Amino acid sequence: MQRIVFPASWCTIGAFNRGPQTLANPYLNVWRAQQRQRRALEPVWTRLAFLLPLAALAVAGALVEPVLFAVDTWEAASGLYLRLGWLCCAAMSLRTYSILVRSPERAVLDAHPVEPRLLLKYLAVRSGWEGLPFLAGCVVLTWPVWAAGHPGLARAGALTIATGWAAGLFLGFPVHLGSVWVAESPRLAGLLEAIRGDNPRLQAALIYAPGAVLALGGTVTWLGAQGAAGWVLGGAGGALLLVPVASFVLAWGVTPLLAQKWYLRTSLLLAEIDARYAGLEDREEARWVYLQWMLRWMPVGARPTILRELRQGWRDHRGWITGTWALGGLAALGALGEQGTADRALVMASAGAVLAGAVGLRLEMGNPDWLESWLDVPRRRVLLARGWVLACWLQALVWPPVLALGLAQGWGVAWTVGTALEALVVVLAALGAVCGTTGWVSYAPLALVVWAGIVSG
Amino acid sequence: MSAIEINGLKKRYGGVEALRGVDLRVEPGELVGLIGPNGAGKTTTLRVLTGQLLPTSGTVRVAGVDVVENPGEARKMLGVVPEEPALFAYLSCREFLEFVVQVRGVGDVDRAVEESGLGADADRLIREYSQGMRRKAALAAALVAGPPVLVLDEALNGLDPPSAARVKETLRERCDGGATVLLSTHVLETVERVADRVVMLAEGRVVADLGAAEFAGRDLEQLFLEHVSSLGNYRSQ
Repeated sequence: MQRIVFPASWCTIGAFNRGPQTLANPYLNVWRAQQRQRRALEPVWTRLAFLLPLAALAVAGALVEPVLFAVDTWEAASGLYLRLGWLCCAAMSLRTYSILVRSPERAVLDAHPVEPRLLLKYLAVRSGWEGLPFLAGCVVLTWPVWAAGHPGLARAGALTIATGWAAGLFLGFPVHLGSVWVAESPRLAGLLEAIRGDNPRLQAALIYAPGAVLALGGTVTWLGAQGAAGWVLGGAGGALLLVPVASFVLAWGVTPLLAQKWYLRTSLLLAEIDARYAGLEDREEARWVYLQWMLRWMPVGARPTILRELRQGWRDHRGWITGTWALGGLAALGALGEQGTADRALVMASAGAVLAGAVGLRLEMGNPDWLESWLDVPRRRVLLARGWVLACWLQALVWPPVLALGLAQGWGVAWTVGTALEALVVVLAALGAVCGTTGWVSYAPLALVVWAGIVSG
Repeated sequence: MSAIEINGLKKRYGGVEALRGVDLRVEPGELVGLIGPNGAGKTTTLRVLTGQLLPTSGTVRVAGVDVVENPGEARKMLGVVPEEPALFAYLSCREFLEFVVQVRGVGDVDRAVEESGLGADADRLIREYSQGMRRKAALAAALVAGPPVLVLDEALNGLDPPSAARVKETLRERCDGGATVLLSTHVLETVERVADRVVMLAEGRVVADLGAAEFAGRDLEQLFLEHVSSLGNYRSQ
């Protein structure tokens, strides 16, 4: 690997005076320096803020233990931990996409030459570090099984989750870089054209890349789960743990070669995609957004604020909102199954509601302080409007499973689940609106505990 | 070999033809001003030139390197100040320049700080900078490694008069030292003062390419209006 020569004065600079052994990677150094300087400006408590969601997860895990974690065999536990492993894989796949492809840093780096190998090392370290709380959060969910007297199951579960997390990280980089090649491949143009939907053709490859990571990573995680069970619990299959390790080594070996060609090319591709998106703007949607019709029944004074929340939320976060609705659909499908249908529907739909409610935080982040102050709309009115809009969006997570339950199980069960979900919607809409200024630190733990309370109750 | 060589450059965004066949050649040591009305294609030309945008057709070379075929090599030849500079907010400008020196493998931080006019502000975090200071920081980053070709998009916008004068002087010195500067701006006075050549862009093509002798002592604004007013879109303006 080529080492960049740096001036002798480098070591004397405040932010980087960690000695020459840390100077081999300028991207890592800059990231660390920025982290240090950002932390110096933030209150001390924010450094420990990640502990709150972890503690909330532990509490939530204990609350839902009878529903989700009452397992005493690997056959039962593996289904649960395999899903958590896949969740970690999906999260890390999206994380690697956003840091490698759509990172705001790309705009800074695009003005200068790039050493892809060093940059990749930095991106991997950063993705891993920033994704650690997610891994820790999922691993915490093994403790109810441990506490119930099954430490072996918990250890195998933790290993499965870690495999999923690492699969998303290590397979994410080569797949996302490969997707740039796919986007530009003339041979695959027809396929991309067929699956692009409303997106530009070039974007189609990037959109499906996280899914490809999940497919590959999911398979690797499944093999890892078999290996984990064999290794921790004894029995055949322990050697299967080598499959994930080998695939990670292989993926990481290929990645620099792909980056050499496709990292720089990605900037060009993104500029093309953004330009074409501008040309694809939906004129109808520019005028009208989902649920806008309900404004006519709202108090006249509140209409402008509600409309603002509807427009801003739907246009900025439509993917997030409709993505969580998919969990409502899955909950409805779960309700049509044979066993445990009401519990399954409640768990899925309420988890989707927790995610959808977080749009309230993003709405707050998207509102500049100066605009709020200049518009001079009473804060209470903004929060009420936001809470109302969130509650309306969340209905898409309530009604499909309730109707499915009513048809499959009877309207008594549907009424119970529906009431629980509506109660959750009210609480989450309020939390999503009120926690705006403090963000995830307050929303995530509170929402988790409320979710656990509803699911276990 | 020309420092910048653009041949038959076309760029289409959906149904909009932003560039309709731009031809431009800039020799080493030249300081060329690129001017034109809004939407003329200046920024698009510079984005293709700096490897930020793919051309629909045509070729673009910087110091003999094709920016589409070999973007990595082309970046080494270029110092760029984009229209909206992107910087690391939680670094000081000096730290950012040291980062640029490290990724480019060469450079003089103190000189770039002096030339940009940031002075003691170079040790403050970039997040505390005004718009003008951010532009100075971006300019310093473009200058620090002494690349052979500088591409500056509205680089003097928001600079106070002493800083702008200093930057103009610096650009002139860099050109005298063999570097090439392509400066896009709306401020005709800037171009009049420092440029060896003025290239006028309108409706996605070059409508005039004037050497210093052709615009020296003349009112550049008047010249600009004369060239632009003959085009369909600007006749009524």
